Parts: sequence; structure tokens; C-alpha cells
Amino acid sequence: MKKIISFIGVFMLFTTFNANAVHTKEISEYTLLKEQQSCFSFYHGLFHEYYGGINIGNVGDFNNLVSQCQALFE
Amino acid sequence: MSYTYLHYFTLKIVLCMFFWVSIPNLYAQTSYKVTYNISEIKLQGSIDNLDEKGKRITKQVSDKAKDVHYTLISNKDNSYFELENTLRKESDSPLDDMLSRMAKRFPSFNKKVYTNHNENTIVFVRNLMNQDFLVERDCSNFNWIIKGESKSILGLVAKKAEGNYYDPVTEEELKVEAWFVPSIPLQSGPDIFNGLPGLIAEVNLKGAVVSVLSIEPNMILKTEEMDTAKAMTQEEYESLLKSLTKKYMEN
Repeated sequence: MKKIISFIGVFMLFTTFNANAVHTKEISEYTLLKEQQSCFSFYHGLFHEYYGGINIGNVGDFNNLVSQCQALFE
Repeated sequence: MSYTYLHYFTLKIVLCMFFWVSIPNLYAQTSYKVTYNISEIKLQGSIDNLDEKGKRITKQVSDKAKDVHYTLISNKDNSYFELENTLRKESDSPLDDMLSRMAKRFPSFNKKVYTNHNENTIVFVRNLMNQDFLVERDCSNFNWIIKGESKSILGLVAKKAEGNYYDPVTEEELKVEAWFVPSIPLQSGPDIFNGLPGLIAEVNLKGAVVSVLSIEPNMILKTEEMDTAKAMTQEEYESLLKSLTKKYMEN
């Protein structure tokens, strides 16, 4: 019984480490995204260079991406 | 007596089997499932205007675009085109979601397109300002000019054609280069692009190059149709675009 509990404990420890590693990597990606600017200005710049600006066809995605970014970091 | 009956019974079974096996194959020869992907994204600005992190993100978006797949189910009468459903994995991060969203925007395709080649009409779903709209209208006239150039796509001879069309969303007159396969006698292609004497295997658009990945005979005899009861007409759609653009400019 002790062995089983020890095994579960070690397993949970490793999975926690792994989850933290993934989360940290993700956060660092986003931290890089908004290092010097707001989510709005970051995506505004990208949409301008990528699609030639924001229009009624892509404003839905623009708003969703900015909201997602702001929810995480602003 | 019993021998004759047995012979008759066997013949009946053989004929039934021949009927059930051969009929779907006859249809399958003229019905295809075509898969496309975004083979190249085209930036409207310059990559030089982006800083290092922007350039890195752009490389990731470009890689992600190759995983964006579209499916076209088509026969000589009609076709149905849509973005292939990829279920979100638990391991997908917000970054994956962001890259995927940005990659899908490059070709500016509709969400779904049903084309009736006999009636020369299309029904499509367009997302504008985060809302889906269903529109039914005549197929666009691309004024195709078939060129002398040809190239091999998936081992098939593809011929080049050039056309133009008006995009009412961006209010632009756009050029399109298409590569079609005369040996596959379908008038269809990705999104709204059709009307050439052969399946369109590649389109070179303002924002992206969309290329065929696979062409398979399709066993589904009927293409999916859309309920057009609530569809807008072309005039209603143009009026909607004007009012949405006005609303967008005011905000």
C-alpha cells in the first residue's frame, strides 16, 4: 500500500512539473508578444502588415485575439 | 428441376451483386473529395516592418497555415466547400489558437460554399463582424483567360488561367491566377472559384496560394446542400455590407 501511495505521489510530482513547464513556455511566448506594447497595438500592427488593415471581414478575429491576449496579460 | 432452380438462383445473386457493386462505382468516378491547404501566405505589408518577435510569429503563422485544410466534395452538377473540422486538442495552447486564426484569414475564404453548376448559383456563409450571414447569388464571372503555360500538380497536367473579380467586402477589384486540371472534368474549385474546364487545383490569390493536397474518388453520392430559406439575395448582401462598413467606420 505504501509503495502504491509513493508511486502516485512521484507520478503527481512529475506531472505537475510538466504542466508548469508547458504553462511557463506559453506565458513566455505571450510575454514576448507584449514586451513593449499593448495587445491592441500588437495585433493592430500585425493585421496591417498581414492583411492590409482591419475591415468588416476580419474585425471579428481581431477583437477575439485582442480579448484573448488581454484576458491573459492586461 | 432442382438443378435449373439452383442455376437461376445463382444467376440472380450474381446479377444483384453486379448491380450493387457497379452502380456506386459509376457515380464514384465522377464524384471527388479534394483536399486543399494554404501552401503560401502573402503579407500585404513588408516583413521588414516587423520586429524580431513579429518575424518569429510570422514564421510560425506560415508553418501553421500549411496545416489549414479545406475540403471540396464535387461532382459535375454541384460542389460543397468548407474548412476541414479540426477538433481542438487539450494540448493546444492559446498561442496555437492565435496562430491558427491568423493563418486562416490569409485566403479570405467564406466559411462554407455550396455551388450549383447547372443553375450557376452559389450559396455561402460569410462571417462579418463576428456574425455569420447566409447569401445566395449567381456565380461570379471571373473572365477567365486560359494561358499556354502548364505544370504538373500531383502528377496531373495543370493549365494556367487568369481572371479577375470584385470583392464586395474590401471593395477591391482583384486578380486571381488558377491552375486547373483538364483531365478531371469538374467546373469546381476552392471557395467561390469555378467555371474552368477542369478542377481548379491551385489558386494564387491576393493573400495566399491555396493548393490541392489530394484528390480521391468520393463514395458519397450526394453533396451537402444548405438551407436557403433564410438566405439573403445579392442586393440584400450589398446593402448589409454598406451598413456594416458605415457602422464599423463610425466606431
